[in-house]
Amino acid sequence: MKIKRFTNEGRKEWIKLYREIFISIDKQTPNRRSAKEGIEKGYNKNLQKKIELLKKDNTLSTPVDGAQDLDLKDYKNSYELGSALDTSLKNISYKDLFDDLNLWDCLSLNLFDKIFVPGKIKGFMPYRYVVDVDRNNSMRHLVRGPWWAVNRYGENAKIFTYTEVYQQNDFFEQFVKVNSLRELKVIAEVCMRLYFDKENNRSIPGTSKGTRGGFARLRDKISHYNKIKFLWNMNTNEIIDMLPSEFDKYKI
Amino acid sequence: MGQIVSNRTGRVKIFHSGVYPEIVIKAEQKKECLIYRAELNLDPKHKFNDNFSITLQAYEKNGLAKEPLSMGTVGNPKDLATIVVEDINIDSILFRLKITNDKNIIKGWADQISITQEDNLSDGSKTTSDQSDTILPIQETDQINTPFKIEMIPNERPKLLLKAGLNLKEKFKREITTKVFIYTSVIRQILFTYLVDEEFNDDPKKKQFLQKIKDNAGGDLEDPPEHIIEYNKITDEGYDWIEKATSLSLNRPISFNGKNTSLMEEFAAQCKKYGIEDEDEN
Repeated sequence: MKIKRFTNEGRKEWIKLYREIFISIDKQTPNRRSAKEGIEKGYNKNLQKKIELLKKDNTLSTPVDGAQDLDLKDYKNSYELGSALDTSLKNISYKDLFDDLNLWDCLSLNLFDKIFVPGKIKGFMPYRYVVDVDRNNSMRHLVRGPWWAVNRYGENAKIFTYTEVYQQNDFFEQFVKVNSLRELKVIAEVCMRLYFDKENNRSIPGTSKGTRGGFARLRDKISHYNKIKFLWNMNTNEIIDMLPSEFDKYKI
Repeated sequence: MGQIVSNRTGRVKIFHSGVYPEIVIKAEQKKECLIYRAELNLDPKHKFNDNFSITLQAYEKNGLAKEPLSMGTVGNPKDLATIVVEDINIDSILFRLKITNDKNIIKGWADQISITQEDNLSDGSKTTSDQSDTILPIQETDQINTPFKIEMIPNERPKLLLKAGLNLKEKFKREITTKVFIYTSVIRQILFTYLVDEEFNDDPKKKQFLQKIKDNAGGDLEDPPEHIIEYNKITDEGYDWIEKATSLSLNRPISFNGKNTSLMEEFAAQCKKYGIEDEDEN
């Protein structure tokens, strides 16, 4: 698939269309926490047609110079999607890619049938499909988030992207908001070592929540250590060794 | 509520602003990259050991961080010249300085160091006017998703960010109700942050802000209480002081449309207009 970027007008049309989709679903959804049925009803034939028309409108997007074709397939998880995007965009600088909202949202439209799957998705908030620049939401975009995770952490991004391409990842959402975690690439490796089940290719159930030795506790400990020790001088083993006994069951 | 952190390892804060900053960073934005240089002038009063290591790290608020670079040791410091950064813009770059002992314990630190303004080679793309007289500069930005937000960085004045594209800045200037709603919220938030967050303990801008609030109160406002936090909670005394300071700021006499009044008085007058209803015709 050719990688394209919206024109400014194109992105406006996309924002308008997704807003229409959102409102249509919302009307059918008495409780946003349980939206599965509302999504199926709200994303009606008329809106599906509008998505196809917008995809076909070549006046609203342009090819991205330097990008290679995207290997389009049924991605097993967000890691595969992020890796495919990272490969296609490798010749473009991070600085140019990061804030290119027209690019990410055009990809969102062109990959819409993969990241918006009625019957399977449980959430439909706009930040999943339209980049929201607010710090708390900017990485919740289902295309930009996985690309960023793979671009920054390589294979260690698996803990943040093992989920289906239409799902948000709890680990990633929590991780990316905390500066001391996000900035240090070695912490992604710490998370992989402690909480990733390689056999089942997913995180150990329950560890993204506030259990003893779980991710929430790791976040607190790293924030604390970051004030006392210079973590940039330390490797994964040294950081894991510093963690208290409540983490022992995950250190194996 | 912010976390209360003890300081058993005795780390000290390095000053990066004011008359005698201990580090000065100058930068130039080129087309493809940014180039910076950094000069150290650590104050001997810290009494760091000569073998303590010094590192400087460029980063972006809420973005990425570069690998820290060595600036030598306290006994043999070296300035940095012509460091190239490709993926952070001059508008968003910040720096951290860390001084560590041989056990990798942080003994000195400075965070959120911005580029020294006076001698920048940039084209002045920074939009905040730190030279102006106001204690609360206003900046419109499309990087927020709420109508307004306060940005607070140690050693810089708090900044009121208004959502761009909504003409909020004009609304703020012209409409007394908008101004009072926003002021009430942001003054409370700034005072709360200044009094609770230890990052601002030695911040000269905090002193300036609190002094201005006291000046506005015309002698009716005492110093903030010494013990603002007890048992991980803000004290009643602390809350009361913040409320009093906020209230006095809004009741400060001002000249508005040729009369002596206050923001609160004008706000009340505007609000009362809505209470005047037509008589019931039935």
